[in-house]
Amino acid sequence: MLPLHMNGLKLFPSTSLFYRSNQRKMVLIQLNGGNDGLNTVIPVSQYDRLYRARSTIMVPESKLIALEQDISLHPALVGLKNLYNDGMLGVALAVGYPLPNRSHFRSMDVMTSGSPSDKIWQTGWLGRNLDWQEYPELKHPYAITMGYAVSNTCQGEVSNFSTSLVDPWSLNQLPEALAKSKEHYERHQEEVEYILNTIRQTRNFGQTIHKAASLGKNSTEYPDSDLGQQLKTIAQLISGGLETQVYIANLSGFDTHAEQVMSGSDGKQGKHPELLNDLGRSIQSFMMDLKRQGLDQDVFGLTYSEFGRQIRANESGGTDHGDASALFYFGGAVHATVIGSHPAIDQVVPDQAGLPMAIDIRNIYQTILEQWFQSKQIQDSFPGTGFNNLEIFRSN
Amino acid sequence: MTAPFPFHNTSALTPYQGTWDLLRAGHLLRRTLFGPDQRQISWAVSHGMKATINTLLTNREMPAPPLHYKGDHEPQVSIGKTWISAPYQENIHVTQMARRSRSLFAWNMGLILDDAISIREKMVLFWHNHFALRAIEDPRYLYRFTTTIRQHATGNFRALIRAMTIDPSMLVFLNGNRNHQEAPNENYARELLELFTLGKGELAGPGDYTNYTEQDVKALARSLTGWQDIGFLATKVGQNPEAQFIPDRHDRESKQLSHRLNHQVILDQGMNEYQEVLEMLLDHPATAVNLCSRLYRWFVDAHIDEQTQQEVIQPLADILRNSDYELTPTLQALFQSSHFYQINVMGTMLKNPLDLLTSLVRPLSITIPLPLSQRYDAWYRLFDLVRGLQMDWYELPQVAGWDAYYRAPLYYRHWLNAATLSPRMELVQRFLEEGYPAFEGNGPRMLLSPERLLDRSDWSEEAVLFTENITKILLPVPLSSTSIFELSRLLDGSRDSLTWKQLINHDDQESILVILKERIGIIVKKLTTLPEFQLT
Repeated sequence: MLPLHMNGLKLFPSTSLFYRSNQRKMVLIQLNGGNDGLNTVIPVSQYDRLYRARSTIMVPESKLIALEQDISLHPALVGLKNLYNDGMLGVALAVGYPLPNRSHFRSMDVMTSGSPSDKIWQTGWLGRNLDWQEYPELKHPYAITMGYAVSNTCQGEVSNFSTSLVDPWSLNQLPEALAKSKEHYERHQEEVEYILNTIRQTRNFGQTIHKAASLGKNSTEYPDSDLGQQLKTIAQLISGGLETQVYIANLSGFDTHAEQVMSGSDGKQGKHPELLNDLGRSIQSFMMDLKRQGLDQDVFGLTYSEFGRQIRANESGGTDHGDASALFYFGGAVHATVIGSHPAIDQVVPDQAGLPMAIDIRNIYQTILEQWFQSKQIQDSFPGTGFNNLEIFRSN
Repeated sequence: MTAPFPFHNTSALTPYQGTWDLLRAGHLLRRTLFGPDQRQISWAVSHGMKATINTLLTNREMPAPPLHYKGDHEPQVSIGKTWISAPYQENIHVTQMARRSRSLFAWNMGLILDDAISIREKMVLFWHNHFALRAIEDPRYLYRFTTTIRQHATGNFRALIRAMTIDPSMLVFLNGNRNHQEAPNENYARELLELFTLGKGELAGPGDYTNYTEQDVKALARSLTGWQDIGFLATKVGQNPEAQFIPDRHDRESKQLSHRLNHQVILDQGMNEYQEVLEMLLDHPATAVNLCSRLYRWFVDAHIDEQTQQEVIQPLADILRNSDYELTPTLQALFQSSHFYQINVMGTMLKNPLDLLTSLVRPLSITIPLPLSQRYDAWYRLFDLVRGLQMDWYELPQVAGWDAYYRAPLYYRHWLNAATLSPRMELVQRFLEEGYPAFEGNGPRMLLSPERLLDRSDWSEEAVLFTENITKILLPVPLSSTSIFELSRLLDGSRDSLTWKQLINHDDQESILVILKERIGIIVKKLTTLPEFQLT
């Protein structure tokens, strides 16, 4: 028998079972390394100032894709422009948090925990805020992280509420449950319990995931990229009736300190444009797939990265760690617009300057928790601070 | 329920004076070696704690370099000779890179499987995690990098950080080679402060990380300008991977540091300037604290509370500074401390993939074929298994290293989750049942030999005693006597068969020996599939 309390926290709910307020799903796409937001979403009225600071990496103004009067996308993101036209994609400008931190992992911790940047919170913004509890007989995982790691967004006080998934077909072939020894080495015993719990849950979830994968389907082609395949699997599982509400996909390679674009390509080829191209095509395939299957209204998506990059390019043809950056949200129920106004780029950009924050990411988190998940615990989300809902979702 | 040993000792670094037995000696060796076997643990028991620690920390000769072991991609190197000084050839360099990488990785696994009682390879891996890098495509660069780390593994941190700062692989990975006076590239300077030396403190204000500020990142980047690597995929004879200082690229202006670093000003010192920067960082008390915290998480426990900070980390940091950054006295103090032998740190670490693999293949002695090409193939196969379990020490996931050693609250638990569980379990099962082919083609398979876990002279005729001795080699904490008793009944076989005692008194007969081996196999399989076996 497992202890009912671990580190003072309740492991199993004593009364009611897990409560789901709705059947809505969310897909997070984590862009690892720090995406250069200024080469992703470009404020064209400030093009000249930007160009002076980063001429080596910029796409000519005429090659950009206009989204709204002042806001254009990198040409590699044509897929997202199409979604925008179809009313399924929006942009939030200059998203970040106060007192930015330029360490990869500290900044990603702030983004995934929703903490003030001068506080270390070990729980994730989802793990802390949704009605998730350790429940041994749970059949559908609360959250799935694609890959071999679990997402910090889903970190709870004791355990992580996301289960990692590489191949939906592989989870079913586990060895028999292991026998437990009886010992009084308490800390050691806690680790043994962790292993046993992981085995038990993996077996439970494995059957459910396997079933959903068998029942589900895809209705479009996806890019043959890692991200494309992650999103394809997620769409298949949603299509197959998996009740998991949160999925986390990953795209890595954004730490572009050097040669972020290929020289002589007008900023249209090279490492960063390839990543954007992958991102745009994968999201477009994903949304088209869901729309054809009539599932787009139930799914919301969001991209985020640990930080943007400095406004000035460095002499290595790259950019160093900066502060705020634009992000994308998508889905059948979103308000397809550009949220926020773009911060002014100085006439002469100071050394090391990053883009200042215009939207605190916690406003976005709060909007999602309150309006998308209709979470009842929102008052505990970000203690001591007041955040406003943004117009991410259509009001009808 | 009472704990059989004291949980807490007021002076944590006081040398441990308690019982020295299989449990304590095993704990020390499991944390400092890769998969210690019975012979090593028994040696440690009989020689005592002090001699064991001395042996662990004794300097060893550097190993012979990796060899060209098969294939026709090395026109200038014959089979059995090393490629580390051989240039690349234009038209075949892609194949050469791939084959030399294999050779390097295989060779490194060979070093890990070595049976010496030495902490060196575990410290080498510690430094690979500390100076995490990835995507360095030239194996000659990587050989130089890992060799530098190995030379200083238990030596002096000053010498190591000096070498790392201008190491060719590091210059590539953290863009030091792009860092020049007209455009300082912050990448290395930032990680030098945040991870390699001071460590990042709490965010105290805009761009202020308590121990240093954004201003210092920039200033240090400028101080480190001028260095470049040469010899990347070199095709010229005699051109080894090297660092060179190009005075024109160096920023000769003085650099003003922030109040966090006492408003110091670094004046131009050309190619010696980086050493001055490093001296300043070594003078700062935070550097030793950061290093000792990381050593503690590597060897002892992930969780550092206020008390541990005061009673263990801080005193260790003092030792490190007082010995002018010689690592041995600090490691010695840690491994002989009563804190290290507390029951509450034993078996609390989820094995990383390399510990998991070696805790099978070393004590249960797989046979590595002797011929050169087969030996390298077998080593490479083992390296690849570890890589498949998400641990590749030449391709770290983050510049901060593996999640397991810095990311709270899961720490070591990062190694085991729904996606890695099955492959970890399958590894154990497959090694026991069908094994892995040692080399390409229809060669022999690498299979575990459970009967070699205990020396024949230690095969007790008492099934319970025999079982207990096996568990002490394989598991990090003792099982209860009830568990041991239940397990031992597997040795006695089913109702109608001969008991363990009856069998063992006739083990000179081949047919009886077969049955004995079978029964040992059953009990080893049971033990290695326990959750306890995933811990160290």
